Amino acid sequence: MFKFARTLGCIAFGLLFTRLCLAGTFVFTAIPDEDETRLKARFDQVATYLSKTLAVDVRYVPVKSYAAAVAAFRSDQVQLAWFGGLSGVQARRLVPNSQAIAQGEEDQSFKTYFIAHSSTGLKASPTLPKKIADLSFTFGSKGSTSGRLMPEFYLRKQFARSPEVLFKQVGFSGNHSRTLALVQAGAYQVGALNYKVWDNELKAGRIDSSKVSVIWETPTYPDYQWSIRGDVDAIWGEGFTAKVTEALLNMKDPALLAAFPRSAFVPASNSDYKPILNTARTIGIID
Amino acid sequence: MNNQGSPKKLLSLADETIAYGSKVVLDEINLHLHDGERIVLLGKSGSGKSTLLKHLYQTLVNNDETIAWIPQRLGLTEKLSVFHNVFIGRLDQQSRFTNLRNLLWPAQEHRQAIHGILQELSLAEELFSPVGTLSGGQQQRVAAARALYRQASILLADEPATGLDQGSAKTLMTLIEKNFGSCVIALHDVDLAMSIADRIIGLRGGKIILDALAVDLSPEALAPIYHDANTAP
Amino acid sequence: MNAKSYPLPTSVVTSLLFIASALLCWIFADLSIVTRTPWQEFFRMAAGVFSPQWLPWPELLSALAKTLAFGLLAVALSALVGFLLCLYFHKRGVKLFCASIRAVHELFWGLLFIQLLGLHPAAGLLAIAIPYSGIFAKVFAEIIEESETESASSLPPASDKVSQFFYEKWPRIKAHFASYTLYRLECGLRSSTVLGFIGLPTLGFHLESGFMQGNYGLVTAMLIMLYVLIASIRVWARFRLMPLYAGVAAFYLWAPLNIDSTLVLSLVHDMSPLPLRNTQTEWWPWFSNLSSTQIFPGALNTLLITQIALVLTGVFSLISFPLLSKQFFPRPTRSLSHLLMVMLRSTPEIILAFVFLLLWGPSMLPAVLALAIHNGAITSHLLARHSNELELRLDASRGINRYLYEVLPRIYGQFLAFLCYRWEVIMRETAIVGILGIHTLGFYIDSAFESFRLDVAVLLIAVSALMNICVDEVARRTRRRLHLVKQPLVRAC
Repeated sequence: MFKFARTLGCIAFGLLFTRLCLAGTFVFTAIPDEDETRLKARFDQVATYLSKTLAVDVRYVPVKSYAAAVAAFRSDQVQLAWFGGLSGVQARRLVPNSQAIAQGEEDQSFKTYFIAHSSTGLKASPTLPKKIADLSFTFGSKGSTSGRLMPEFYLRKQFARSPEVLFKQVGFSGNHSRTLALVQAGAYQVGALNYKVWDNELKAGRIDSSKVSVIWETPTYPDYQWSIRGDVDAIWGEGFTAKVTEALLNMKDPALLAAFPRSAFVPASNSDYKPILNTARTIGIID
Repeated sequence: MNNQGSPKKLLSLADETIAYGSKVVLDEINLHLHDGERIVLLGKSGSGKSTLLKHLYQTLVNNDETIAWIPQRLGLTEKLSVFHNVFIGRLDQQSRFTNLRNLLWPAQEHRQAIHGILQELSLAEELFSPVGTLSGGQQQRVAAARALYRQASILLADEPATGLDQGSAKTLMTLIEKNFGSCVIALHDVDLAMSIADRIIGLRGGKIILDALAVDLSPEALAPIYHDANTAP
Repeated sequence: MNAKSYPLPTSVVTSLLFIASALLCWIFADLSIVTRTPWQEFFRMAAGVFSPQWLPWPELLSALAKTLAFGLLAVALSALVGFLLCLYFHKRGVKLFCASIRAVHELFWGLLFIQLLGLHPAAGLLAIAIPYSGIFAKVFAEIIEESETESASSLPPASDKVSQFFYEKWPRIKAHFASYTLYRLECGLRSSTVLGFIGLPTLGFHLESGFMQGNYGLVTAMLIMLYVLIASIRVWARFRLMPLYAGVAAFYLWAPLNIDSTLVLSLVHDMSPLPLRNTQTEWWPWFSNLSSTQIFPGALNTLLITQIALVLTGVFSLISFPLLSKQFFPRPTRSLSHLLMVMLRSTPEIILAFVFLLLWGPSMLPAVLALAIHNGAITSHLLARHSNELELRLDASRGINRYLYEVLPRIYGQFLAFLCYRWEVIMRETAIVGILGIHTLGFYIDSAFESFRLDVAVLLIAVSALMNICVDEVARRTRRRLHLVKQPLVRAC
């Protein structure tokens, strides 16, 4: 019993000690949008890379939701974050002087797929088919750009109605992979998801094309990006933001890029995300 | 012991000992019961009457006899009405459907049958009162009504007259005499015992110290059941 | 012969009223069934169940230890706070305060504190401890109230209040407090797991990851850990050891916390209603718009689901409790059923809801079933415990007759009391069903947090608190009408 207690004590003290040493650590997070399993291991590699390149302690903390990522960014628990288009806009509105510094190669022209269960008889078409009205429909997460914001924007644009009025039911599956599972099972008839998730699942052979297919894809829009707080230069020294940006843009190791998953990072700025902000305002997600 | 030729033997116990842990409750009991006997168990509390009754109950049930049973702690379902508690007496003789139906809404035929029994016990007014709202004496009579309704030929009862006034106790004994061919009843009232019993068994410290026909017994013969020999009055 | 007609017992009338309300809700509720092609997904689930995917040891142990630590510490803290609150529970303000804090699901407290404290352990701790304090206060206050009816004071009338409490009340209620606190531990571990869904590093964190990615092997492994944890409570949980456990947990979870005052101020600013901050927004349009788009539909859907789920919970537990009761089944059957019930009541409702959603498509049906099974398994367990304490006659009937005439009438009052307690719990849990496209109050609260409209979130939370208080009051009156106040003290979480 005593031995057990002592071991526990040692573990606890060890943890405490590590925490204290981490006081000056540069912390980043990423919204939970892609393959989360083994996410920590992958992002820890990224942390190691940044740590080496920037010559400061860098740590990754996992979060569970878009809102939690934004909250952590706002409360300075993380200084750098891999956000979606919408969550990035929301986060930067809440933290003065924060800026978008880099985006994925693919994020310059991201898109959303609308998918439908085969029982609807819907086929791929150049515009959103009128027949989707009165079916059941699921978004992904409420705060997702590709799973919520953009599909809702295009639905409203074409049908001039809110999704709640347009469809028989509107669900929020939680994430892209659940959207796919639910539409493939026919639980929801139509859904909207991140095109990269669809492509990955297709490659992995987890999509049965006799049951679910893409019926429309949205025009492209800017999505994921790295955002950094405005006060990091004051803490880690002049030019720190530029150093971080450079480190991200120079990240070439495919093993590291696979965590996101992106082929490369390219420069980005706040103004790149103006369209997202406007869209969010139009549909009333941001006041 | 009996005067009707050779009646059926209901049960025989030979040198039966029952102990809970190291505590012996019944010590080397030898006992034979015959059909048609009315036996009263006498003894101080803790003398083993209840244990013996329970043991008799188990043994008789194992012999496939139908028994009416009145335990000391009546075992009434307090939230249910008097009707239902009496109705419980015959649950095993009817279909599940009948039982379910009567739980929800008592049928006329059963109401009448049970009402009749309750009348004899002066409980008819309380047909649909929840048993929990009745007095101790009334609850005692409900338990008796349940036993009567069961229509068994053998009754085992543990102090069925507790809480009853003398008149009701007599009525109950008469009803028991009329309705059951055989019975074993634990009582503490010697007069009441003598009025119904044709055989008396006296217990003391888990042993049978007396087993005799009631007609042969004088009040003095019963004294050892209740008093130590050397302090006898 | 006798003109007397059979009067339906009050408990039966009450049950019929509950059933009638559920049927009424049934008319308005969408309970349609659509089944298309769920089998591929079920096949993947089955494959996952048969090949659990364990995390590496350090991660697994850390998740397990944190689930325990958060649960233990939060329950210990809230028992303490609840004890202090219960002493003043007769004050209306305290009562209202407690009802409000327990009206909000711990997930929403979690979201609120993540906004305030970021990912600090205190966020998770407070998320559990705050609603639990409200629950402890209420239950403790009831325990005291019931103990007072037991006997008149035997102490000299002039004794001071503190002595009176410790000499008279405390000895009588201590055992009840202890047993309820230990009972609450199970709920605490469940809550600590569920909070993993929003980021607490507990088993739920990995459970959610696995679930969201369709990695059912990981889901299975995490669920098994949770089942083992819950089933083992009776082995290690002791009331006297609680302070020690809580101390170790506190030490383990401790991390320095810096509260940024400007951040707190800006959050308070965000929580104040929009018309107050923004002169361009008028009060009435703001409120009426919220009422018609969120408050009313949200409240209605919440109510519909709650009533139907409540009655189904009752049905489920009445059917299933005999499997756990020694009045009906031998030990092997009971052990097996016990295991099954631990699984049903520990599996987060959202996973049950997802399975039903795959099966029957989006409607209120998966939601009410998920809630009914989860809560029914809890009530079932409590009913069985209660029925085990009954002493039946030697000649008590067997099987269905025993159920109908001996056991059910004896436990029915307690059963209704349990349901009354579950009522507000079910209402709180309707929050989880956003995945089904059912817009309950909880759904809108979640949306408000997602879009950083803290003022709307706070308003909606206030509305759910109000509904909770109403339900609590009706439940209290029902219990009083049924004279259930002096029932044995076994309660649900």
